[in-house]
Order: sequence, then structure tokens, then C-alpha cells
Amino acid sequence: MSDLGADVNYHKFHRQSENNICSRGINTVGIIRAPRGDGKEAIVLVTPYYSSKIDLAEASSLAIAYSVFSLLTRVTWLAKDIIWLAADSRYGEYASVSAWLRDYHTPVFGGFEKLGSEICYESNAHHKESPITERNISDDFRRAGTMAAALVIKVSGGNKQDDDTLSIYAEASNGQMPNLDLINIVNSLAVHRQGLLVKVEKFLSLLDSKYLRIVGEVFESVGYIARSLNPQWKFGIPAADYMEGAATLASSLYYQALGIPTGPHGAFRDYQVDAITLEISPKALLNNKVRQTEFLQRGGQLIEGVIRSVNNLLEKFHQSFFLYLLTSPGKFVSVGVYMIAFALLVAPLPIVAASLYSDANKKHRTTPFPKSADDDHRNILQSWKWLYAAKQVFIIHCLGVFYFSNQMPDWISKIVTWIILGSPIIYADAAQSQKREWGILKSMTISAAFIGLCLMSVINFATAEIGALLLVPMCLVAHPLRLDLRARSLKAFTRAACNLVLGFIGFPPAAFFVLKGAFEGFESVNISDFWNWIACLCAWNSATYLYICMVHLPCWALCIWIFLHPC
Amino acid sequence: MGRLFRFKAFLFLICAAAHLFCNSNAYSSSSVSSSSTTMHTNNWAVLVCTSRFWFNYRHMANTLSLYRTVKRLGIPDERIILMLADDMACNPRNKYPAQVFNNENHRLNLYGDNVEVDYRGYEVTVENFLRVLTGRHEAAVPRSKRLLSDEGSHILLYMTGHGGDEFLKFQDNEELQSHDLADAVKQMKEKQRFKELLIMVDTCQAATLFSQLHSPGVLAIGSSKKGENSYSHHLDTDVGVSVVDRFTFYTLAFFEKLNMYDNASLSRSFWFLQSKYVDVNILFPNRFIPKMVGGGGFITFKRFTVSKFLAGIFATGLFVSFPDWVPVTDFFGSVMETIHTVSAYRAFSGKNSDEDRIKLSSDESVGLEKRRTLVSSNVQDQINDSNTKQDQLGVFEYLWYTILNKAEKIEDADILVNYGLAIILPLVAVFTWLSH
Repeated sequence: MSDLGADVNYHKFHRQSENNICSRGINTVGIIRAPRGDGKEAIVLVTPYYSSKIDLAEASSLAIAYSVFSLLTRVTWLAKDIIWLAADSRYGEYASVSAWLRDYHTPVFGGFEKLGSEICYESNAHHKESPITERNISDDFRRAGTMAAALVIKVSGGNKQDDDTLSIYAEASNGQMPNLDLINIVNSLAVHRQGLLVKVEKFLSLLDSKYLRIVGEVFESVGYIARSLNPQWKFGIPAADYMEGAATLASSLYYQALGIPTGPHGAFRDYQVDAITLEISPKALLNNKVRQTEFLQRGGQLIEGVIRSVNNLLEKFHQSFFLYLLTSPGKFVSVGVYMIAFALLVAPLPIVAASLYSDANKKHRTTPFPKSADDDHRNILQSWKWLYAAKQVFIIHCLGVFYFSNQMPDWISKIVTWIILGSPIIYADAAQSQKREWGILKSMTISAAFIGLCLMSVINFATAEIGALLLVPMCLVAHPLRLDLRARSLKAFTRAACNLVLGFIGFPPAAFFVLKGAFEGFESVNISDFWNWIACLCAWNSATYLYICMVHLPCWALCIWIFLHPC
Repeated sequence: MGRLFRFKAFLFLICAAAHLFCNSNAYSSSSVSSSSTTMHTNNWAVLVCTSRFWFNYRHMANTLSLYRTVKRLGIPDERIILMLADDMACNPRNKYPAQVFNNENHRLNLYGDNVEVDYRGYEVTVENFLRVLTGRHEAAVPRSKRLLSDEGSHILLYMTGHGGDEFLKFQDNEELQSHDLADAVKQMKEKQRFKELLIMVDTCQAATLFSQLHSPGVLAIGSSKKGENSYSHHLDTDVGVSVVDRFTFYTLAFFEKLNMYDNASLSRSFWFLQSKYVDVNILFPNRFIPKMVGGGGFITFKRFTVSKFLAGIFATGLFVSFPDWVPVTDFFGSVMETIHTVSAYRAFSGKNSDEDRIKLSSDESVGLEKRRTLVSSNVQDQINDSNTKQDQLGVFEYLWYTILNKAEKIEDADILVNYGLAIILPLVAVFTWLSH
């Protein structure tokens, strides 16, 4: 890099894992300063590579990046600086990129050591210095202004398609997405200029699903009929397109709901920089020179095109959507459309809660109005009945908090334990009649679920959507089993059966297993998968974990409690 | 009783006649004092590009193309005021540094060695623009930044950028509104800063910018009507942005074929524009009776041939010097009449009736193709004749001569009718009184 005339520096970073193992890595950073630019903005190119053992694919990615980098040193249209980060992915791609970003955005003044380096101090002996090429390479941290956009380039092994493929990964932590314009640029350049095949992740198993095909065909026929009635109504799409779109949409929703970034580009989103990961896979192995040159040229031209587009911009991307779900590399569903589905799902909740509460109040008012002070007193007390139910809901939620925050300091956990152990005593204290009020308890549960879902939809919409799909039917249908058994009508039996099924599905591990089995086949399901999944969510600080512990589990527990209510 | 009534009627008739006479006199005097009597002295051009930033490359290319055209056809830099943001040629995003193109064949570099920008960068503001038009500058402003036109100047005002309904956006932070422009033009007319003004505007909804113009002697062309957008012509994939707008592109395509000695007329240029680019809209504010046609005649050129255009003129009662006879170089170039005088310092006053006659014959009544030769020979002859005649004419011949001139100059039939009416009524009144 320094031979090309760029500013090069080594970035040493540390990562401390749970068992106090210190891992060190070295990123190499090269910066081209735009000769006529003003140096205020920069475009970042990231190539992760495994420094201990580089295979052909990683070498190809480094080669593409190097060729683009050397072109950019000679080009006349450069207005922003270019940063090339060759990230050492020995301890994970994400960790190295996020460490560099953290150091980039926290300037340290006075030339002191970086924070945390005392903890992780090791000798520098194993960092070889090669005497020949150390001309311009420094150990100071070089910066280049605010980042306009970032691209992570990876090359994977050969695919079995007809042509070179480009896969785009866009999801960052907690379901955040880069601006849709960045994906549009890459997609249009790749498809129209380079002739690559562009893919985004999709659930392949859904493509074979018969039910989805039936739905798709229904839509297609409806669209056809509408178009024959009035040529202006052109909303029908072929069934195959519908199925592909549905599979991609499901995958997009799932990956956003997980809240885990799908690539090293996720680290950039924490600093409000639009970034995506491009994974280029050649159609055959790159073992001969002709193939290599052609592949390098195509990939290089694509990246040069994207960089030139971002270079010509005056502002960061802001015209297109930030909240969307992809149904194909060129199509999307925006927030204005998908919010409607969520709003419809969640809208019955407050209505049902209000109606249950007013029903319960009316039942007590049907008793003849006595004229004694004692009954007056009881009437006043009855209007505060909901407090008992609220207390129950609150206690259950505290349980959830306790489970979530098992990393909290000891004294808080002690207090919480005491509260929880003390709650049965409070419970036994209550009057018998109040225990019969399952209606108010259900109303409180539904309100708590409503608030939790709405709050979650602001943080991570996809989680809220999937959670609402599981939670809302369960909450609405919850009914004490004993009352149903006593009623002995068909409606009561179906209701009890629905309660059972939904209660089963609502339990997160069960839901996980059922869905995994449905998509991937029941043979591959393993008990420990669920704990791995949860541990993963927890390790990435995903808000989905918070949602499961604090909204989903308590509401599920309360619904089960209503189902088994003794009355 | 009857006598009283007749007397009142007589008085009323006198008053009406006087009023009509005064009005028509006023209008006719304004018409007389209008541009047809002053001599065309020089041509000025004010070229304004109101936008900056890299993606507005095409606006600067528009303005620079027109600058080049106007210079090529003869107007020197000292009579061109160029207002540009000037951030394209040296923009770091420019793949061809110091070069500005208006076509993707890159045949022509508009930003050559002799581009003189008078107002550059952040100096292009609405305030400076209006100061240029009205001539109200601070004392320290140099001559090269002033519009030093006189009452015989033809001014070409070209503006391009982003605009909308009755406004034009200046550099992304202020607006020029149509009433401001109309006010500035009116001030210019009051101060006799131009003889004829041609305004060309290439923005979206350009014609709305002229909706308040009511000054006589102004010809305005917009590239789109209200509610219409003006689009760019083509995208240059090498430079990466659109390089020229459609209206300007077709205008330039017409002008590139001309040189200083061509006889192309404005109407030919309009027809060319109309055939290539159907959204040209031309506004002719009427010159003589502002009240007759509401707000000036607004004629769209969409499907009019030139003959229909002329018919339209007659139908609305407008009178305008036919664009068919107005040479393009009246605005876009600078072709000066050279008059050979036998002796030095024989000064001509602009309002001399002889010059008026010459002007009349050369401008209004002669066929276009013969104009060149006729002017030169006519002018020579007329000058010689008038020189000699003036010495020999007696008083009566001179008076008869001036009356003939005035009679010839009466172009509008309405004025004649008004004069006639004005004279007839008092005559009738006098004779009725006499017959009693």
C-alpha cells in the first residue's frame, strides 16, 4: 500500500473475552487522500482476511481491493478520501472491524496509550518488522474525516450457477438497515453493468412449500381477473415471483428480528454509517490466470462504480428508506406498508382489554344496590380491584427482569429475590372473591402485552411483528379451562383446544423447535440448539433477548395462569 | 329647456371628446416615445446561472454555451455580464479538470481561456442580480460588473436553474420572485435602460416568471408553462451528470449554424424551436394599450405555424414588431450599423425625423433578405440626401415633411380613429350651435 503512495498504518487491537483470554490482532489501514478534495469525508473499503492462513478466496478479495485501491490513487475524479481496512479476522471479522471503528471515533489526546491496553499487555516480540518496506508505515492512528459509506468485500468459493454471483448482506444489529439507496446502487450496477447475478438471503425451504404455491396462484388469478376487468389494475404477479418474494421476505424479517448483524458491516451502523457486505462468488474455481483476471476485472469495475457514485454525492444517503424489508434485490416493502399489518394485529388488544374490564365491573354492579355504608365501602374497593391484577402482572414481569439481568450486582438480585419470594404471601392474603376475577387479570395481561409490543416495535420492528404473531392470538383466546369444561359446548371445547395449541406454541423454546422443524426438517432439531440460540442473542446484546425475557415470557406465563385459573 | 338640454349635451360631448383625445394622445405619445424612435445603439447580454453543486452541472453548461454563442456572434466581454457559481470546472468530482462540456461527444470545451465571469460563486445573489438590472450599485463596484446600457440598447437576459411557480431559486438559499423581476424591468424602462429586452428562461415552470411583466418592449421566452417541468437533454456517462437542458440544447443547435453575417430571424429561431421542442411559450406584453388585452397576450407555440402566429397577433389586437422581421443578431449578436460620414463630427441626434425615417424603412417595412443591401445603400443615399436637403428645404417643405412623417408613423388604426373622433365631435358641436 505504501508503494502506491497511500498513508499506511498498523492498528493493533485487543479483545477481551469472558475467560480473560486476551486476543490481539493487527489491522492494516491505508488511506488515499483526494488530491483536489477537501478531506472532510471518506469512503471505507473493508476486506477481512484470516491472517494465519490465507486461502484462495481471501487472497482474491485482497487482490480485488488492491487493484481498486491502486486505480483510485491515479484517478482524477476523487473528491473524498478512501480508506482500505485489511481486517485481521483471526478472532472474528466483526470484532476487528468494531475495534478499529471504536478507536477511530474516540480520539485520544496527549499521545497516551490506548485505553485497556494495560490489561492486555503482552510483549511485542512476535510482531516482526520487515526492514525493507517500512517507509511510510506508522503506528499512529490515521484518520480521514467522517465516513460517507462503507463496503465490506468478501470472495467465497465457487458456486454452481451459470455466472458470477453477488450476495448482499445488509442487516446490522437490532434490525437496523442501511439506506436503501446503497443497495439500489450496487444492484443496478451489478445487474446492468457487470451482468452479475444478485442474490439476497432467502429461505429455500419455503420455495418448495405447497401451501405457499397455492396462495401464490390464488393471488395470480385474482390479479388476472382484476386486469381483465380494468387494465389499470396491474397488481398481479406470477406465482413463482410471489413465492420467491415471500421466501426472501420471510428471511429478511427473520434476520432483522434476530437483531444480530449478518456481517462485519454491522459495526458501521452503530456510528450511523451506511454499510453493506458484498460477497462475490465466481462461477468456477479461480485456478487459472485468465479466469482470475476476468473475475478481478468484473469485481473491480463494480466496486469502482459504487465508489464513484458515493464519491459524487454531496450528502450522506438520506433520500430513500431506512426501514424496509427486502423481497428481492430490487424490490422492497417500506415501513408505511408493513406497519399496517402490525397495527391491525395489535389493534384488538386495547379494545379487548377495555371491554373485559368494563364487563367485570358490570358483573358486580348487577347486585342490588344496598344502602349501608359497609356495601358502599365495598363498592369503592371494587373499583380498585384491578390493582391486584396489576400487582400480579408486575410480579411476573419482575421475574422476567430478574432472569434477564442475571448479570446485575449482587445486592440488587438479593432484593429482587426477596420480593419474589415474598409475593406468595401477598397472594395468600387476598380475599377469595378477588381471586375469582380472571377477567381483570386477562385485561391487565393484554394491556401489558400491548404496551410491550408497541415499545418493541419502535426498537426492532421485525421482532415485534413475529412476537405479535405468536402472542396476540394466545392473549386474546385465553380462557380458564375449568369454565370451559363446565360449559360443555362445542365453542367451549374448541376454545380450550385453541388455548392448548397456542399456549404450546407461545412458549419460546417450543416455537423455536416447531419453526425450525418446519423449515429445515425435524431430523436436524437438537435440544441444545435453543440454548445456543439464546446465548447467541445474549452475547450480541440483541434487543430480542430483552423482548423475550421481559415481554414474551411474562405474558405467556400469565396466559397459562389464566388458563389454569382456579374458579 | 331644450336649449339647456342641448347645452348640457354639447358640454358632455366636448368633455368626452377631450377625454378621448387626451387618452389617445397620451397613448399615442407613449407609442411615439416608445422604442421605435430611438436608435439601436448596442447589445448587452446578462447571463445568469442560479445554481451551484455538482449535480447542477447542466445549468452552468447552459449558461456557458450561451456565453460562447453570444461572444461568437459579436458581443464583446465588456458588454456581457456573466453570473455563475463557477464550481464545476475545478470541482474535485470533475473527471476532466478545468473543462466543461455541453455534449457527450466532448467536442467543445466551454471553459476555454477567455471566459470572464463577472459575478462568481457566492456573489450570485438576488440582490446583486437586481442591482445589475436596475443599475443601483454601491460606489465601489467596478465598471465590469455594471450594466451600462442606454436607451438604445437591446438586452438579452438569460436565466437558468431551478424554478417553480412564480419564482426562481438562487443558489439554494433564496428566491427571485416574478413580481421582483417585473419591478426591476419596470424600473429599467422608467430609467430608459433598454430599447428592447429579450428574456429567456430555462427552468421548470419558466413562463410563470413573466406573469407580472407589463412593460412595453419586452419579449419573454420560457421553456415550460405552469405545471410543466423542463428536463435535461442527455446524460453524459463519462462525466457522470446530465450536461445540457433540452431547451438550451435546441436553441444552441440553431445558433451553431449561424455566424455574424447570417440573416436568420427570431421567428425562424422560434419555429425551429417549436418544431424540435414543442413547449416553447412566448409572452408578448402589448406595447400600446395595456388595458385592452388582459395581462398581455399569451401565445403558446405548440402547434402554431408562423402564419397562425401572425393571425393570432391581429386577432388580439396586439401590435408587436413581427419577429419575422427582427434579426437574431438584434439580441444575440452585435452587428453594428456603420454609417459612413463625409465629414467628421456630424453628430446625429437620436430623435431626428430623418433618422426615424431611415429606421422605419430599415426595420419595419422592408423584406428581410433585402435588408442588408438596402440598409447600406438606403442609409448612404438618405444620409446624403438629407444632408443636402436640409440645407435647401424651406420652412414649408420642412413642415410638410414632418407632417408626412407623423402621418406615416401612425401605425395603429385605433389612434387614427381616435384622432378622427376627437376632431369630429367638437366640429359637430360647433356646427349645431352655429345652425341654431
